[in-house]
Amino acid sequence: MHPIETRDLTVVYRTGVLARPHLALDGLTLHIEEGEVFGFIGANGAGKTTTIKTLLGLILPTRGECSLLGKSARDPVARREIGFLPESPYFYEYLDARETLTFYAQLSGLDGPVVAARADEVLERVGLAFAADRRVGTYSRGMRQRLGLAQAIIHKPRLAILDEPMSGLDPLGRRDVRALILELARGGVTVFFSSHILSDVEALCDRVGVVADGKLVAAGPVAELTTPRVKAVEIRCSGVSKKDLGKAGETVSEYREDGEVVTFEVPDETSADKAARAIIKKGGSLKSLVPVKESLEEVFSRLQVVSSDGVSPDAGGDAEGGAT
Amino acid sequence: MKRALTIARNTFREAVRDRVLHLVAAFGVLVLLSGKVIGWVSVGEDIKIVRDIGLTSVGFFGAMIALFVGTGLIQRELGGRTIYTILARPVARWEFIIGKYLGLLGTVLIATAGMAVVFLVYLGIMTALAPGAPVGATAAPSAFGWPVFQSLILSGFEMVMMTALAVFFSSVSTPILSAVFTFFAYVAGQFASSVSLLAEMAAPKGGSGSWLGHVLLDVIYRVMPNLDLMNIRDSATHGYAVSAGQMVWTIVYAIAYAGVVLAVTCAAFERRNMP
Repeated sequence: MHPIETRDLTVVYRTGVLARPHLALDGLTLHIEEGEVFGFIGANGAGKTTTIKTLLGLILPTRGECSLLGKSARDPVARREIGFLPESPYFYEYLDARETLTFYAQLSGLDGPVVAARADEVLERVGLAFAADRRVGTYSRGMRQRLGLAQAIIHKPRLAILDEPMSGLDPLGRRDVRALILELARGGVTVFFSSHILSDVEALCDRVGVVADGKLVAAGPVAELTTPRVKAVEIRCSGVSKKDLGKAGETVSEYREDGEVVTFEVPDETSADKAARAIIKKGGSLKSLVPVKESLEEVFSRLQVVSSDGVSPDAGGDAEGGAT
Repeated sequence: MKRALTIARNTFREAVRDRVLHLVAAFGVLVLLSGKVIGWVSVGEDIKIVRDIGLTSVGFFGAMIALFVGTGLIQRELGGRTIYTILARPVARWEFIIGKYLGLLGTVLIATAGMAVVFLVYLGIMTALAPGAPVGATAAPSAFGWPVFQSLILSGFEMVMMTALAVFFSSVSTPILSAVFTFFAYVAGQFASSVSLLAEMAAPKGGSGSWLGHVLLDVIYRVMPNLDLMNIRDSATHGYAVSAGQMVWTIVYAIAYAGVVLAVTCAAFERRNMP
């Protein structure tokens, strides 16, 4: 049993009788392993939030199916052990943070004195204990985001679904959320989160899924998505200049001199081999030769462009989302 | 059902802090207290006028609270996106609707009961201060007689129906449209017996009338809330009680009508997307 499983998930929005139907999700097949941190990335309108809403039963799929912790996503029982943080969460303005958390805890089946104790514990954990008795209507965006996280974990869920958890947070807030996600993962909680902040995804996730135009265009461990692509080789040397490289110098880019030391890039390993031979032949000293890999951001950008061109993506991992 | 009650409690807590509720209730109290002013121009009828205006105000402003607080209820949850964090929990959609309904009904009934208490206290003061009946006059109906309480009880059940309609319209249309529809239903409901009469008159008899008109009016009569049935203010003002059988039948009708409206609301909400 996978904590999250979708099969051929398709959602078509129809906003009016005469409006053209909009394909928001196009046959998305994906599964998440127990205990992993899965990052779901994609441009605005790619289908991230629609996927999350469909998983939570907020949107009915036009075709396909999805399950949470082995139960159909349409069954409210499936959501008993789910913690959900929506993008830019909103709360009842007249309630204070403690009342808000008590409400959500009771909806999740918690009852009795344990609720108050758990609310205080979670408020402390997300750094809102100082504002526990303040009306939520007076909260800043960052405080609401923290309260959103608090309500998502108040009932100790087995699966946390977080839509843009770092959104609206300052650097300290982002650091706290990263620590919280890692803490949840260490505690055995499966975390599925969408984000625009790719450095966070790269740092936190065991696996990543890239969605574009409603399709899952790549999925797999971050290392697998980025490693196969060596976009250039950076060479540092001394005792030579660009003209000493001869033919190998034709493909040089990012050339810079810093006193004796020369640094430049060549596009691939063959060019690097030629350049290294030329340096040694001219009596230069080769200091380092480092392959420059694609960052997740570059992989992401490439996949977005490829997807909008309608060309099959060439990335590591598995576009069915099943690679583990 | 426990989750529906949690939502009801929360809805109540949220609604009682709503300024619109305070405003409408305060205006209602103001209007029912103004009965004395109108009573001055009808010599000897002060108590009757106070009773009439008071009973009407309690019913009307109770319905207005259901309208103003209730019609934005579901849409506010959708627009404010608070609904996402609720339905992402093990909460069935019908539990959400029933919870919102019960919370709103609690708010409306407490506000209506508050206005009724103000009305009864005011009526008591007016009765105590009123001069004795002139010699030879017929005995005036008791100010606090059973008919007044009957009328207030039925006003409460009128709220049971109006709140269900407000929740229904709120879950299927925009706040402004749902306010318009709820108000229209309230006004039309006051004339339900006239529609029934029109349906009878439209029935083909002796070469006049048409089946289409008859059927159409009959359907409208059956679908619209028969708030006319709840309105016994005239007889209460004049001190006439309605029979226990009529009270029971009217209460059963109000509960059944609200139940059907809520069942339709839950069914419509079950298939609704939350984009």
